[in-house]
Amino acid sequence: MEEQKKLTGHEPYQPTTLGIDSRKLGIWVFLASEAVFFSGLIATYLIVTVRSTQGPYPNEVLSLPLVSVNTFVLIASSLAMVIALSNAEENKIHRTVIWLIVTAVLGLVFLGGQVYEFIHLFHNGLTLDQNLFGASFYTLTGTHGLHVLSGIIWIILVIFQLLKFRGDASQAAMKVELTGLYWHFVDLIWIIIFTVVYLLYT
Amino acid sequence: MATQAGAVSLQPRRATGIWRLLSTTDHKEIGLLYIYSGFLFFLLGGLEALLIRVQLTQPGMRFLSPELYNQIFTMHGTTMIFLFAMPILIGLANYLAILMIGARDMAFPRLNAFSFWVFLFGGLVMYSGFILGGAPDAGWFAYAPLANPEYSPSHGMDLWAMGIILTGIGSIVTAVNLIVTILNLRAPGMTLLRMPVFVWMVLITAFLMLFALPSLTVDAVLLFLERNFGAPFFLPAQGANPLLWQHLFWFFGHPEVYILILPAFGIISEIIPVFSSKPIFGYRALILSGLTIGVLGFMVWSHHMFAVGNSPASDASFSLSSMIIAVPTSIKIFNWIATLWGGRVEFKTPLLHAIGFIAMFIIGGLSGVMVAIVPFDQQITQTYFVVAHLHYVLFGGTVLAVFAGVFYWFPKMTGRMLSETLGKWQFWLMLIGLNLTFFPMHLLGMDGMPRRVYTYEDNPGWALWNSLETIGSFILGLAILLFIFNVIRSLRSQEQAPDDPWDGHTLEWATSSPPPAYNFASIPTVRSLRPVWDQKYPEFTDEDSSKIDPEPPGSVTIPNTDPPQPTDHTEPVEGNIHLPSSSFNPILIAFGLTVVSYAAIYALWFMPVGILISMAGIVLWNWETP
Amino acid sequence: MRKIRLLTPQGEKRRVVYSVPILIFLSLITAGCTGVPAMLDPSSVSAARVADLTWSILAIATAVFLVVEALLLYTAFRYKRRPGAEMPKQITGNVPLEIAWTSFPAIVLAVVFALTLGTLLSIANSPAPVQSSSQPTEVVNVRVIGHRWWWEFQYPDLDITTANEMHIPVGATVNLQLESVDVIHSFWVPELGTKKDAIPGLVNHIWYRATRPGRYGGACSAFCGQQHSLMRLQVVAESPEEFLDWVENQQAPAVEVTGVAAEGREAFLASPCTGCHAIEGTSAVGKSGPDLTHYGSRARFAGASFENNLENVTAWIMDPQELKPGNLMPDLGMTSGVSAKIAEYLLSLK
Repeated sequence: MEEQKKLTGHEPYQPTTLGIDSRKLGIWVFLASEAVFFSGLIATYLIVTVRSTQGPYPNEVLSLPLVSVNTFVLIASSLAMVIALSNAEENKIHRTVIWLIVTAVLGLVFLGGQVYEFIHLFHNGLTLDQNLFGASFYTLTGTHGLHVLSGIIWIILVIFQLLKFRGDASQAAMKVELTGLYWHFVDLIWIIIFTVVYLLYT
Repeated sequence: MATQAGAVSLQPRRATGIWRLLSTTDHKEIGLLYIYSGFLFFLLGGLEALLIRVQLTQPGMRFLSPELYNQIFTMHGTTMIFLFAMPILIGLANYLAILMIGARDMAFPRLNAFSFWVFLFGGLVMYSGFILGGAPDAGWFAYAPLANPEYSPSHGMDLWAMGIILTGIGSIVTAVNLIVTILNLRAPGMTLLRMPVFVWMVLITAFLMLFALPSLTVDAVLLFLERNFGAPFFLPAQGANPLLWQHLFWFFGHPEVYILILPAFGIISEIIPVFSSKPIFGYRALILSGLTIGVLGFMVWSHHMFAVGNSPASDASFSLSSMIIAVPTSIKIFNWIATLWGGRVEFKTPLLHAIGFIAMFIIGGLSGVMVAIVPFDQQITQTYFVVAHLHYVLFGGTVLAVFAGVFYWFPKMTGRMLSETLGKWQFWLMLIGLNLTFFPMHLLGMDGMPRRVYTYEDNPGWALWNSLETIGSFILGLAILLFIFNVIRSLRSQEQAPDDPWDGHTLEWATSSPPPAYNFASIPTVRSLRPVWDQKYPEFTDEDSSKIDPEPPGSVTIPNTDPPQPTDHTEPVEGNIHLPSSSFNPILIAFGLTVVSYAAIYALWFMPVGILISMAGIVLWNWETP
Repeated sequence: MRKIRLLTPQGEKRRVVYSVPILIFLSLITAGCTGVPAMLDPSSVSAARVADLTWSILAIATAVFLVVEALLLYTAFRYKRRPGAEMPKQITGNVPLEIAWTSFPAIVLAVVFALTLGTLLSIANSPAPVQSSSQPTEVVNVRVIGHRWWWEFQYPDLDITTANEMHIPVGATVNLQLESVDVIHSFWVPELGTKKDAIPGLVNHIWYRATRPGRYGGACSAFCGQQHSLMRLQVVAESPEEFLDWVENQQAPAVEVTGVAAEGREAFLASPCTGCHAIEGTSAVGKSGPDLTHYGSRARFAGASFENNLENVTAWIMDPQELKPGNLMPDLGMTSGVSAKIAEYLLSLK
């Protein structure tokens, strides 16, 4: 009887010194630099917002309800990503793709919420050049939004790859895991931003 | 390339000539691209330096207008740091560190190519200012509010910001590549404590780049948004504190200088043992001191800001941390001297440069400790004293180390030897030139001459010293010309360099000069810190010979110039050597990002075009087989 | 033809050995041309403290330099490969030695830091902090305002506004409050004390106590744009009596003038000059340029960059962009005749 070795999909592509796939190691290292990048933006936000000489001020225009829902949407998308990965590890490509689509759609909903929030704030007089709060708020959340968008594009690329190269099961989980790492990171950054920007001031 | 049946199956080259250059993903070719481009920028930066020196020969000279002068000195600093020193060190790391760990290429070859192109285009973006109505002119450090549009109206600083962002992306991506490669693609048996010192220094430098560049990128983004979209990050009228720029900048800026010197330390640490026929003294101390410098380097940034009015407590603590860094640095110097001690020292050109490095770095390091002393620094900061210090560590340090490394590894990279005689002339000219140019600057600074000036008071002695410095700078120029002549002459000669011209210790000498595309016919098994040396002189291994593994069964001998064995168990599964294919997508994405940069400055509506180009590159990258 | 002995490989040692005395000789010659550097020739209490510290660290640095360089060069030459040399002993380390050369620098640096801290604390805070002072020979408060590219000096307690040339009494505590209206500048007079940046939106403080009378040159020490190089200044330290005379003079409105100077006065008041410059007692009340009420009392002009004489001032008024390109005084198209008259007038404003 043939013993079928269950591939977890986590095997490295080629032999590596640390036994971990180079791409996975690479993502972790890259995320370290992204962490410093976002720290710089968050620190800037914290330092300059309180120095605004004119309104609108955070407690005047920021409101929790919409953003809280949006945050929940993004967290849900991370959950969808986890489910996608779990399916990939069991070589259920079809389900993986479905859950990746859910992730991407939730990401789009999040972005939609962000756009709606920006428009609302714009109508309340908060622009990039209005005051230090506006400048740092839009820069921080806008940069985060661009990262979410990049993540969505990445997910779409992975979906196409999974559909096209269906045979390569051992690599399916790795591809999903790589994009998952990035996605969860972006979600984590949002939680920090949400706390610092919305919870601290309202 | 070898085409024996069942042996090496290489990816066929799809392109030749310039197309090959634009699509290469081979770490050696990319390394050479970095080195040649870096050197070209060195010449540009050097020309800018000569222009500066001519203008400063006498007080009141009208050789350059103040407006042009400010662009020239801004580009001099920017070029030397971002477009010469970093790229050329990255180029040497690209070429040699991979060989030294016994790998076939970087972990991410296409990303490697992308890093190069985005650096090159970033540099070109900055230089395009000269023909687009004004090069960057607010200093390489671009302090706000001077860099604000009100005080720097030309697009120069926008081009600077975009160039910084582009080159910064390149550096961060290179850092990821180097870290993963060094950690993950080492030859079997090469534990971390058997990595050559150069590789360790490159690894630490990569981490520094990873954590420091993002701070600069944030700063550049904030500046760009302020200049082009009115975001008032550095506008005092809107409540901004201009010091925000400086803190973000120097949080990057200080680790940056360690990025520029640690690989240099690594080069010296490779050369001295080889030319002393001894192992490096105090290997672990060297590694530990490198790590310490790397970590401490993030805790000293405010020593660039001793005159801004921070509290005495803040100044004192940064002063302390800056002095502490001198301890690991001096450990290294003693380790190098101890390596020479009792050795059999060959006074060849690489070693001459290495000793010159140490001699000059002692001076630069001492003036560095001096500037850490707050009250002293509060007199001489922003004066020529600091110009003296930074040039001793960067020219007397980094540049001499680069030349040492180039002389040392030139045979390996090109298959030709450089002329020893020409090299020695160039070395002595360089040593004389750099001391004549930069030593008097210590005194000028202490006498009151500020930096970044296009003219100066006709104080006693100032004109004389400045003239001597100008003469010194032209001597340096002459030395460089001599070097260029040496290189061209050697490249044209037909004499093939041996695999191991210097009696080397480390893995790069175990393959041909230059190496084949696949680097090593078979990946060697490493049993000690000096695999090539121990192979050649088994009776002269480290006195602590317990550090060498016993010979495992079926291991590969080195040096190995035999044709590759398909049964070698260290090969990937198919028994072939898999080399990365070339690709045009890296340069395509880099080009797309450059279009985005120009569009952001001049024509926002054109940005989608740049984005589409980059996206196309990304999608195609995703599609092709690596 | 005999080979030049210096250029042979054996000549290496000779080259190094000969070059040392040559370099020392050259340094002494060039040092002789400038004398002691300004920061080591202090004329104030705080500058003297920094100078003392500097001499100590120069001594330490020179000692370290000589010892380590000698060690390096000695080692390199002593162990230079001789023909037929044997393979050297493959030593990898020596723990006691490494501990020694880690501890020794650490100890030296600890000493240096202690000295640093001492001096830092002794100059950080003014002994007589800013307070409204009615004893101008004891405490003088000056507001230093950096402009592109000149220095404005206001004495709030004495109701004096002037530019580029500051007078202070010897022995008094002078509190300088540093501000800027545009970009970051840095106020520095090496013989009188450390520098500090003048940052827009912030206020910085330094203090001087002059110990010797004299005219001390300073310069803006932070790159501030096109004419950073010509943003100099002078501080005149004088006896308390002379200082009080200067104060009295500066407090008075502009002197009355006759003759050519009077013609210049008319020309000045009729021109756009009054839009930027003020002369107390006249209709000129512009604030964006230097106050000219006692212009003639200053030794230099245009950021203390040129001698204040008829020829220079005339040239300046005719074409300010020629002398200091990019500066914010526009070319008003004045003829040489009118310029000379205005120059005559300004120089008479003692």
